[in-house]
Amino acid sequence: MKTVSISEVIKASSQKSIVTGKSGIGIRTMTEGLNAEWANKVAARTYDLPEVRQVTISQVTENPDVVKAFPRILEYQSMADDEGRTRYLVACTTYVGLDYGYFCGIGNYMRSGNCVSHVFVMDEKPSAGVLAALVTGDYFLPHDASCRPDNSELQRLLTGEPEWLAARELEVDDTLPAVDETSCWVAMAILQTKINHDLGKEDSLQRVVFKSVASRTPDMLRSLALLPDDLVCDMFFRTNLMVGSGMPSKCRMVFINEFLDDSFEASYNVFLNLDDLSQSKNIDTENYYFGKMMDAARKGDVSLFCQLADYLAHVTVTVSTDYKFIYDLFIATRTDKGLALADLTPEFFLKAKDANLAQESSLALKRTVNQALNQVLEQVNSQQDLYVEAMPVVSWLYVNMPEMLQLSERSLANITNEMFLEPRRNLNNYLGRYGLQTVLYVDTREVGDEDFYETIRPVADAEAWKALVQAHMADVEAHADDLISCILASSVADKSELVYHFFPKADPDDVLKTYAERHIDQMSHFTFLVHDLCLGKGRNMMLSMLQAGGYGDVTMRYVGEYALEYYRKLSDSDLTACIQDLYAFAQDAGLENFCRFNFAPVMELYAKQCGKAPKEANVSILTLFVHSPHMDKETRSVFETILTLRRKGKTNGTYRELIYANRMGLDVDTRLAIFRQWVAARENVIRPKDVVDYIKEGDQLPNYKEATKMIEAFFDNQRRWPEKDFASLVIAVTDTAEWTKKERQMFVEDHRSNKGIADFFAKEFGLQRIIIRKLFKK
Amino acid sequence: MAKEVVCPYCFEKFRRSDVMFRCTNNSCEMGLDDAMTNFWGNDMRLLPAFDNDLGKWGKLMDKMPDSATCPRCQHDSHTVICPHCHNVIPKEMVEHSGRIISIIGARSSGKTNYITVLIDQLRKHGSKLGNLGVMASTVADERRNSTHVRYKTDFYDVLFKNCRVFGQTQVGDRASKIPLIFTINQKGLDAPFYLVLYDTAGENFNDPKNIRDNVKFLNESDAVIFLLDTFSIPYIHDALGIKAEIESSFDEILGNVVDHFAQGEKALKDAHLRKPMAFVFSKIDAILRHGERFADTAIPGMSLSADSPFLDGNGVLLSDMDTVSQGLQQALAAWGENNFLQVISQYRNAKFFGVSSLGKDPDADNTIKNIKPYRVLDPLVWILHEFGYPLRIVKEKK
Repeated sequence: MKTVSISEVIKASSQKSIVTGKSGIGIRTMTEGLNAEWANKVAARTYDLPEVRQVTISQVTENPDVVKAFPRILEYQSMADDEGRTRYLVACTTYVGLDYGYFCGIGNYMRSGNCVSHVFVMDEKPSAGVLAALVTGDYFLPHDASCRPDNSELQRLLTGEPEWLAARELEVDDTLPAVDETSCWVAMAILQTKINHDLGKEDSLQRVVFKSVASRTPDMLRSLALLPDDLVCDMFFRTNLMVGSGMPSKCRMVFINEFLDDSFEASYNVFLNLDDLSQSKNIDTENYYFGKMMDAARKGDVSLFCQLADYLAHVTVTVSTDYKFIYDLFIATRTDKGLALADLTPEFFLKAKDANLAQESSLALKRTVNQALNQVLEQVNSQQDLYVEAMPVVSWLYVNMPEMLQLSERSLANITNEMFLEPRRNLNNYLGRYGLQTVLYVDTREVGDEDFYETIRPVADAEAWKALVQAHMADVEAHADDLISCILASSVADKSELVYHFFPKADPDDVLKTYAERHIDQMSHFTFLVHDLCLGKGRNMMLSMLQAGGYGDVTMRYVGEYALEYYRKLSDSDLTACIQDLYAFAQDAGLENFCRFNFAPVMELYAKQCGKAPKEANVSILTLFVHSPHMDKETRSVFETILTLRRKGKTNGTYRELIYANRMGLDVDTRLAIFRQWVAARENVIRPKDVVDYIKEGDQLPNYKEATKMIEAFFDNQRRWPEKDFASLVIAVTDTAEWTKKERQMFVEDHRSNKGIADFFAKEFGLQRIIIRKLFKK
Repeated sequence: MAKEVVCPYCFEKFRRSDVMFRCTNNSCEMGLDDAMTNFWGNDMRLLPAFDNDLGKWGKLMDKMPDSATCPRCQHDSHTVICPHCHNVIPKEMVEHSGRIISIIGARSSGKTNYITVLIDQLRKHGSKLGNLGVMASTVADERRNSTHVRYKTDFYDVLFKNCRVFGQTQVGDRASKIPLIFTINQKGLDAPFYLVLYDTAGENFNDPKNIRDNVKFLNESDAVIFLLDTFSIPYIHDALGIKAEIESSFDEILGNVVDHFAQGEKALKDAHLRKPMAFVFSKIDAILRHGERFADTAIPGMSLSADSPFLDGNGVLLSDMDTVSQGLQQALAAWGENNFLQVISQYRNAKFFGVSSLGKDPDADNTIKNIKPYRVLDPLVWILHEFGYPLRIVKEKK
């Protein structure tokens, strides 16, 4: 119950007006103290019943209640009073049939058309509940409108001396009425005007025309109590409009019924036709939010219905407003009802974010969202599909609105278990479905390492690995052994990258080395690591690996391969250093083990270098190298030739010996000895060019004596060659040694006992032959 | 200076050249007409209202535009509306000006009955007044508001078909704002005569302020038919033995009207006092039927058998009206209403009439059959004559 202070004005065609003292239509009485002129405006109400429909005396004589078939006109208005203050009027105009004479036996004044207007004047705007109660309750006079001459109420009201009324207080029963479909339709229509207002639509669309049979009007009016005050209490209205084809100017709502004579133009207003809903206009009947209100109405849930109406009434909508979102937000922030997980979409959260919710609403939303999630996630034996709904929400929130997430400990534990523990270990599935961020929400620190490794092993996503491991273990080095093993056994494609992510190659603590050594027997699983260690750390690492592996075949195979690669790369930059290092490697590995490696490519390079400068070759290295079975003949020849010459061993008369001896600066006798061996060995092919090259290799041209010895060696084996070839060889010496006629004559003279020599020189160094050689030489 | 036209709806004045037009092309876009909405108090969605196309010269000469082109649909329209309230006004009425005749009177003085019977009588007997023809206007924004429809449904049918005496006329209702516009044509006359009547509640005359607020047409009236409830004359009331007390003195309204003008503009008051003023005693049949009760105070020159002389088709006998008027003056004096006569003397062109719209009392059920109007047309005929309308007047020897 609510107490409402009111003043009153009652207007009718009465025997005497308390204001004018005259009979006829005018103020019968009013609250004492009201300004009479203003009261006249307040009471300016008519019951616009056409003449032909007015009741006759015979009709009311036959049935005094015939007037009750004419519905009361109920009005709610505001009006400035004589002092300019806004007053609120709730009025009821009741058709009472005949003039006052009928009720006091004065025959002259029994014309039809009398009505009583009873107006409540309030200083304060009434609440929706009070307003609805006033217009639907039995507060207005006359309580009994039956047109009987002995109707005492009408007799008092219309005849005799009027009495001033005192200001009084009404006890108004503003209990919420029941809600039903009619209530909802009324609410929808009124809320539609609010929406239209927000959307800036024209004023006519912010006003409602309700149409129904008159008997339903009270139900509609009663529904106003279910709506928020600030939505309803400026919606001034009039019921039972009887004339006029458009919305009364002072009204925001009008209720029309079968008593309306005119053809009402409602197409420009929000129009609710309760008698034929399909005729309603400008109401968004497809509005999701309205649909939810209707659901609440059908269930008779007054509380929910009122809250829904209140919420929408206070939300500013735009053309892009998503009413489902508004509803969800309502549920989330204003009720204890949970949201369905399906409602918790990214769009919902983004819109909620944009809605700039008050702190209280934000907290409520957060509470509801987490409740919805917890409801699913806390169920230990929940079906997986529930997780399927919950986890994307968790994931999205974790990434985009982490401040919104506040799952219960139990939920968190259940998620963890779901992903990391038997029987499901759904981590990998979740990664695939919801992405890494979803999974990261889980606190895996409580997960045992074994479960963690077991679960993460099938994960192929290296980034997931990195994030999960980081989240799971603060100190990866402490878990290096297991972690690396897990990585190596995992589905990650690029394991090396992942291993090195956690344990950088440049790790001074040699975690990787330690791991490799410790698991050298399984090195086939981490060859990349061995490779990288070998190449990165060089000889000592390789030796370390070899030792760790006991120089077993597998170790030898992989380390040998990587050692060769290592030394080849090293040789590219510094062959000498490479050979020195290799020598050291060989020494440390031992000759036997060294010989199991194939460093042929490196040795070839070294052989070439030695060949060019055999004098510089390291005898120790060559001595070691020649033990290796893995080198070609050429390399070996180089190494052995140099060693032979350096050791002054028995030569074989090879051209290489001859050349290397020259390059090594061995003495003339040694060289001539090798020369003679070379010329004499029948298997050697001796060309003039080789001779020339040999002579030129020396630091200086051979003197006469040395040249003489060389020519003599040819003459000693003259029969090996045809005459012409032989001549070429001799001439190669004389020309290269730059003999002149003098040296030739001296040679012939020194060998005068050999007539063939004289003949040879005479023939080959005659003028004609010299000219021909020079011509052809050119 | 050309004479201004008075809008029969809002009573604002305007020059003919200022009239506006309303589009009549139903395909054109309708919209909220603010002026109409303001006037009628409810949303009025209508075809566009627009200014006329008169140029400066036409405005200067105050020409009456025949038509104007709707700026929205380019259709020509001939429908004239008031530039102030946008209500449709008969075009010829603007062109030739109409005459507003106020029918005023106290509550229960019989105004609605009188208007209903007056028009009916004019239709029946207009030809006897000089080939007069009367037509209810069909012009209105809404057909139901046209005089043609209203007169039939709200007046004629109620009284003549349903045989019901009218109920109370409401105060401030919508219908009271709608003028009843009749065209009176006469063979040989180029311009018709427009008669504008208003049916208004008697309570509106209860005090000068009400008159100012609710009876705006009174100021603009060219003539007034002042209905006086004969039963409210104390002498008559007592003589007839009416039990009910007199609600208000029959001359109280006159006082209010006089006060209304006295408190206003002097020029307006002077004009009012110069206008033809027909003081019409309604329900006069009651006196004439009970001659025995008024043996010494009968109305000289009046009897039920002596109806308006022109009804026999021989023309209007002005002397008859004078006789009745003088007879009523004498009777009023005899009934002790000298004060009333004194007040009336302010009016320089006043005449008394006695009429009966129904010719008898209604039944107890407020129904009535076989209506026998008595001298109902006399006041109007007199006023028309005063306006200079060429009636068939019987030439009399002076």
